[in-house]
Amino acid sequence: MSSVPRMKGATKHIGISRKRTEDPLILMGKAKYVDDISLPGQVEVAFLRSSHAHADITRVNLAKAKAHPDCIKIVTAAEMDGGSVTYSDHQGNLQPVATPFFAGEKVRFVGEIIAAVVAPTRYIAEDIVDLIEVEYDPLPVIFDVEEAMKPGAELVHEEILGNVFFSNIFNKGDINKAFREADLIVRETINTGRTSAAPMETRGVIAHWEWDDTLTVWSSTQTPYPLRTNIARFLHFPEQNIRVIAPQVGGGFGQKAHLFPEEFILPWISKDIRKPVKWIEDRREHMLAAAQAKQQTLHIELAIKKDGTILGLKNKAIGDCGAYSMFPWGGIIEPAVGNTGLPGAFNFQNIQYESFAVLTNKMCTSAYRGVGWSAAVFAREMAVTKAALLLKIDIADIYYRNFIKKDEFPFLSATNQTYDSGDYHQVLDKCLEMSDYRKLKAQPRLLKNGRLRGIGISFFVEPTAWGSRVAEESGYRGITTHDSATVEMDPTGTVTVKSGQFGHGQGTKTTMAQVAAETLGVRFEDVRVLEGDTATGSYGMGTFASRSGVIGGGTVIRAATDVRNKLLKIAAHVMEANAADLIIDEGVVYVKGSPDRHMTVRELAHITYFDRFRRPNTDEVEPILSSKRHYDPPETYANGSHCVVIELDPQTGKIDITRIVAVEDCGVMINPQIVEGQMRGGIGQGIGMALLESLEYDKNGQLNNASFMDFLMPNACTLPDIDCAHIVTPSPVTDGGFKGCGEAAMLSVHCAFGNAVADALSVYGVLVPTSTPIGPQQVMNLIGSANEQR
Amino acid sequence: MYAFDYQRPDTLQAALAAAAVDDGAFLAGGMTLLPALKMRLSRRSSLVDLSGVKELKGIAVEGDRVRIGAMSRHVEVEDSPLVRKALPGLARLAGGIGDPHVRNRGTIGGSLANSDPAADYPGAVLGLGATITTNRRQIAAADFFKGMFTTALAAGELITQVSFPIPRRCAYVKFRNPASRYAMVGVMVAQFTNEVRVAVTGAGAHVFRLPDFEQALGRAFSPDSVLRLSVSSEGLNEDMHATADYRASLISVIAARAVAAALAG
Repeated sequence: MSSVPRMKGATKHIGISRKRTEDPLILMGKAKYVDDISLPGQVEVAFLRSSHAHADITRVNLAKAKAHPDCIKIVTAAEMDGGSVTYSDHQGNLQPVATPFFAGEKVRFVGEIIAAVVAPTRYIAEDIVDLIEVEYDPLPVIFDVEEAMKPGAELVHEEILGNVFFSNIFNKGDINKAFREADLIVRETINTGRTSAAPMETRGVIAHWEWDDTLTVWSSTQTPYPLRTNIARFLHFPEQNIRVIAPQVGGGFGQKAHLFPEEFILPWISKDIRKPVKWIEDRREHMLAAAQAKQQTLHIELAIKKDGTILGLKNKAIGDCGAYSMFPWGGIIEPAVGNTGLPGAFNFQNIQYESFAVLTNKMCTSAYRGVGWSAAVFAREMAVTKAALLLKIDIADIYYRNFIKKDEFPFLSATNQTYDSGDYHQVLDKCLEMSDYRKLKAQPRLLKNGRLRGIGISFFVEPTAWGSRVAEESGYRGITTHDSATVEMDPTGTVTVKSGQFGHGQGTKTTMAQVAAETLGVRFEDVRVLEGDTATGSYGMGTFASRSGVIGGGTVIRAATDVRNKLLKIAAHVMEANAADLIIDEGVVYVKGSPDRHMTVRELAHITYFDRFRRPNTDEVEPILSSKRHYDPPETYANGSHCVVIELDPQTGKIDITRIVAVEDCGVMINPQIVEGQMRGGIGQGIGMALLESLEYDKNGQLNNASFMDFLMPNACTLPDIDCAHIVTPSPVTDGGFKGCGEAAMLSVHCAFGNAVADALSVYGVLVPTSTPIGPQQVMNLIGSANEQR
Repeated sequence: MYAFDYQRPDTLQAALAAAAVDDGAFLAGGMTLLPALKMRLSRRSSLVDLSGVKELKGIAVEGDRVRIGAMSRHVEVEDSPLVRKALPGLARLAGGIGDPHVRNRGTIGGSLANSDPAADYPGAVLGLGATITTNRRQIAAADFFKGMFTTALAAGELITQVSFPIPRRCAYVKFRNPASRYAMVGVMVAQFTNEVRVAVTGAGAHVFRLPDFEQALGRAFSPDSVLRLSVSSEGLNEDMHATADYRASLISVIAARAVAAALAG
């Protein structure tokens, strides 16, 4: 215990940086990912994917492929009965755009599945794929969202007019008055680049149907229970006979919180051919056909007073959603969800936004860490950055002037989100102090080495704890999302937690054990968490959207409290004491004031299960130390700030990162080291969005950089040391006072980079980035535009 | 990847004979060929692994030249005490190719025969005026590079060694493509007693020289001599990573930095 770092105010288990129980297997190379699993008699699948972005399929000739001696089965749209998964909830005028399992008469993006080939091995399956002859009749390709919305544009789906499958308008306050009274109006068009979460482990599925009509599916997914339910729904398979196992998963980041066609095709094939089947996605497939994210065009307008007071915001967000609306989040996750995050930490009430979810002939965009907020807040922050430069007010002072104050919570934001708590001023104070912000800002930008130093700051408010209410406040009116956990005390007094969460890097096996140990009063070492397997867990939506700490924590607190109360009731009987006078501490039950009167939890558990002479009458107290509880938390909002320092080479446009400071308030921390892991990981991906990543589709809808040779990801060398600090404002509304912390940096740090580039280039004039990624060429273009201004 | 025959002969003669089949290919480091085969972008009936061929190995300094066997790995050139002493600019170039995995496998002969427009070694070969020796003849650097992924090599012709003249000073500086780490623009500047040579890789279809840069540096070998020169973007590469204009603007900057690096030793 003494070697484990504690935070201030830590209790016995919550707030302590326990080493992750997940790590020994991973670090020793013994963790089992989907591809580490092989079943006797297993065969493999390779997919034929469309090479055209938009075309009618006039003919698919399978004859040569079927004649291959090792061909076991070829499945196409005709075989799987035109099945599809459809996104739909009670969502205004959303038109569902079904994602078919297989393209039938038409393909709509490069990488869409046309056929699945089953063969003894992947190698042979790919040989057979090459023998399938497809005749395409190419159609005009919808490449650009604003072109797609024009009258007469080619349609991606005939039934979706104007290629817009969702739009909404939101008005609050008096936006016209705000813009009339503004001293300065900043208008910008911002284009955010298309990214991929690109986890280290690509997708993969194994499906095994057996003769008792049971189906076991291993998938590299974030959401095992929803996958089970939807296999039952869409394949008409009895849910009680399905077991979904998410084994070790090598990263998800929201991308694997979707249900992909492959996850339905493999089970269907396994049942059809009565063999276990396996498919492991290769990297090229992943780049083409796993969910992409972040591409929006945003027309932002900011109304601001001379003194930096923000009066109002207008935004028109157009999401480049790709060819389908991916189940279950759909393409609205970019433009519509993004818009809800526009107010951030600012106290203004005049807002007007429009959202358009637009179809194009590209892979779908959907959930990825930070979702649509990443784009929306970048647009807002670049407008505020420009205003700060034009008004000659430091952007930090604009923040201070407009921040919601700590005594104003609960606060209803301009987009009707109910912020529960926070102390934004204190967080920003800390971030500015740690980064020497004021001192650096007072120094000249031009350094002795010829480079320009830029200092950037940003601040975020993060909707967390994705339950039904925060989903609604973020733009999903119809989604019901909640979770459950079962806590069971075993006969020897140890504890098994069966969770609906599923950690794939978040360390939930560790943190949920900490919460259970704290609540029950047992040793951390005596708790084990089961998750990721629908046969041994408890129904839940899985791990995504900064939800597991709050929801998982809440379910465990509730269930563990029940078990604790039950144990105390039994202890009171056995120890002939009043339950209210009993304390449980590290596995020992004491009578308050009489420390010599004690029994171990282990003894009490044994008595409960096996000693009918000592335990209470079972008609009064059932001898079961178990509880299953549900939690659908109220909305809770984390916040934080990033400061970045860069050196920009004005001759080449190259940016070197010299310093990053991150301060975050995610309420009560269960495990500060895990929180910092989330902060650092998010910053890494935020750097990707800010400076590096862009999936480049050409006008023919071909993805030109479907490999890491051309698609630039951040890596270990990209990241400088990151200084992390915490401010703790416990949530007054959630069980345990927890707030989420997963997405934070992707609502913020990329804005700090945009701000830092503008700061470095301030020697040339007011030059604010209007697109991501801000690569060397974009920097040189900005410098070039200054020369044109002269 | 499709199935292929694999042979690893010990002698040059055996290697040449083994490769003389339909669709046969020499395998040097495999840094380009193997990924192409793996992705099924290329299909070969037979691969002849050159790693056992003695005649293709070895590094030596002979008079005013450095001779490098075609199968020398990048790491061998980088770490060679001979190269480091006689031609440190070349050792540094080799040490900056790709990443450690690439440097442990990739070879000078393979890099030159492939003539990737963004490869580093072509900059050294043209910038230093090297001579390429094959199993049939000697080819001057100026005659070797013919286009994107195209060289003067005939079918069945194999590079055996490369011979570099030793300049007074030289340096290679590149601006890396942030993703692939290949040169977006790479410039070799070499000062000889009688001439200055400047070769640019990464920017065009293949490596090329800049006569006006060379003349300016011949008059005054200093970064400022080239920093103010501009380069036409006509014919330069344009792709998702950089426009031709941006590449053109980088050439002067990187050339100046190469001059500074050469002067710094």
